[in-house]
Amino acid sequence: MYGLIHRAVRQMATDRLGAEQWRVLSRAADVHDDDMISAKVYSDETTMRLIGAVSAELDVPMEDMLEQFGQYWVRFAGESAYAPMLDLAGSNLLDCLFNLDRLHSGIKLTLPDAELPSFSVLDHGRGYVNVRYSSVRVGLEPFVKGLLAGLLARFDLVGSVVAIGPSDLGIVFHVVFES
Amino acid sequence: MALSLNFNVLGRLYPAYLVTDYDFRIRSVGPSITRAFPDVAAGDILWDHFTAERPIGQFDVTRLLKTREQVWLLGLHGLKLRGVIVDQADELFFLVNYAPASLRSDAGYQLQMWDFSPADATLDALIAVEVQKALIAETQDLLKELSAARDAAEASQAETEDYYSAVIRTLWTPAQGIGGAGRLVESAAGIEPGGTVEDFVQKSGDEVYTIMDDLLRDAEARRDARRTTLDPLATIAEAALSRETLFRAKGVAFQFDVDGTGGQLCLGDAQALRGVVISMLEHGLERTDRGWVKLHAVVVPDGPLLRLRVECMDTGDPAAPPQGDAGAAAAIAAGGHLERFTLAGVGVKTEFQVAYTRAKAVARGTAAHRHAEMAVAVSDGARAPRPATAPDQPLRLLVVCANLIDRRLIEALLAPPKVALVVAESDSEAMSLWRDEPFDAAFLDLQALDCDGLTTARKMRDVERDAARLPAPIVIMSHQVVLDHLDVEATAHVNAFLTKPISPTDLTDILASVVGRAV
Repeated sequence: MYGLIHRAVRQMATDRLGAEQWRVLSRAADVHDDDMISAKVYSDETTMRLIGAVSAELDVPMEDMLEQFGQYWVRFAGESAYAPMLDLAGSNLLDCLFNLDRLHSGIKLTLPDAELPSFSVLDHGRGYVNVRYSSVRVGLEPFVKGLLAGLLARFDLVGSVVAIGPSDLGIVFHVVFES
Repeated sequence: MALSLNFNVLGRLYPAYLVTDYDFRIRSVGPSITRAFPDVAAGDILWDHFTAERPIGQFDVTRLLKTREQVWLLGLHGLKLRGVIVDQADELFFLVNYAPASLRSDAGYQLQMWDFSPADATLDALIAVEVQKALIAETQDLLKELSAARDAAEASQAETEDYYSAVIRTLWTPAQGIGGAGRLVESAAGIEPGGTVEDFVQKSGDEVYTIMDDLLRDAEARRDARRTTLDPLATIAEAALSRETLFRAKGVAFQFDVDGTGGQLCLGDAQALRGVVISMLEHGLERTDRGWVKLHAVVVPDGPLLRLRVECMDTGDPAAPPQGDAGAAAAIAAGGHLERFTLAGVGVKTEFQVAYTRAKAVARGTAAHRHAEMAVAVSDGARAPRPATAPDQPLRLLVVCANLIDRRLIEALLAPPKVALVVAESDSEAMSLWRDEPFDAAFLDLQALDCDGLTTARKMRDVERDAARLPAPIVIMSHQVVLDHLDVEATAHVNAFLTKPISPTDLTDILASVVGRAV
């Protein structure tokens, strides 16, 4: 994954544990300053080792940690230099979900090595939307669940996200919210 | 069945559209424009003026239609929109596909993905640019962090050295007792703590020397470990700002040896990356024998032309430059047009004779800390100094611009007595003037009538080189959209960029920065 993900993990850990604790755990995880270059690709193993270290330090199961990081990522992106891009995607949940793939195609121009997931809105109605997530990566469903929850929060919606099982092309998430 | 292009269809294909008559009276607007600008209504005449990449008449529809893609300025709001113009019977359709990022902070002006045509690749380019900007911002942050860490480590090292030197004094000054590292020595030597100095010395015997040596060695090892951690700053910066990455980001292109003994770097249009470059170069600073000048060499890979970034530091030395921008510039000039410096750290380790053409000192940090940027050339023999206009004389500026509106704007903003403008409309006219007369600076429109500004800039540099004249600052004027996409290598001859539409503040600021004096 690109180093920009590492920076978000670091920020989340620093927010919750403090800078000194982050320094200790990152060194223990063999992650250093030169693993924080946003435009550089690192192995997924490095990324997961980093998240695992934060998970262990916070005593949060890895699955929950990934979900929490998914939520954090949306907030982080919305408050960082990536905010204009996220704004571009839309001003409501449905627009944003519809536009994610196109957003990713633009991102891919600059980060050609990014293995970006695909999101398809399967159907939607008053207070719900079903989204299909597909990716070459496996095991990141909790992260995606967190992302979708993060988007709910971004658009001031109260709701929940559940994975309703795999489809032919990916995992379908059912997002419900008070409309 | 043929597609009938009614407004409903148009609104779905290009939701951000405007339709005006030939008098630029708005007839209708697309749904995205309605959302973004709710006060725009049919019947309004909102366009104060428009401009395009090619110079054309202000309200000459016939000439306007010769250009497909253009930038329109919404006078009432100061909004700039870029799009494609289509003539349909007696109406003009303007299909918007770009709004500058600087306007996006105002939610009312924010175009979103739905506002773009699904077939419009402009959106992908726009997203890519946003990603690049974000990556650059984060890289700058990372370099700042690393610089701060390095400073902290160096400060810590100094404290450590002070500490151990104090410890040694304490140990060998019996009246002060045993403290600090002495306790460590006690522990290492297995001595019961709490004794007197005499006890300590007696019990530890010669072993204290060994233990102290070990302690100091440990301290040095820790210091070296910190340095080892921090020394990869250049490596990290190099990876973060690799040539490939930065070319994609339309920023700096460079090659830089990690050990700082050689390399080359092309600043190009790296205005946005200035901070990054400075951080990079600080790694290789070395003070010269003048005592107050630090040199950073930035080697533009183009013949003998160098672009140097020079940092002046007041050090209390009597030879230090006087305070203030003008003072620094004057002091540098007083040091001679030809100075001999040793370039070290960045660039090749060779002595160059450098000739100052200008020195603009920019306050950075404290009043005593001045930063100057200047263009220099490697001396290949005697060179005639570029005649500098006396401070009480108007600056001589050459403006090469075929766009009537921009020309009039510049003439209005840079009026006598401070500035004497000479205006050329074409490359050929500009080159003739440039050969015959000395100028303090040149402002070139990227799109001239018969030649683009970058080519003209290159030719001007050739003239200067052939005539053994020192280079004068060259500023390229164009729209940000265009500047964002300029090839880095092609901008090696350019000192600065001025974004259009031209604002009075930008114009005077850039002029002041390149000529080193207020206007």
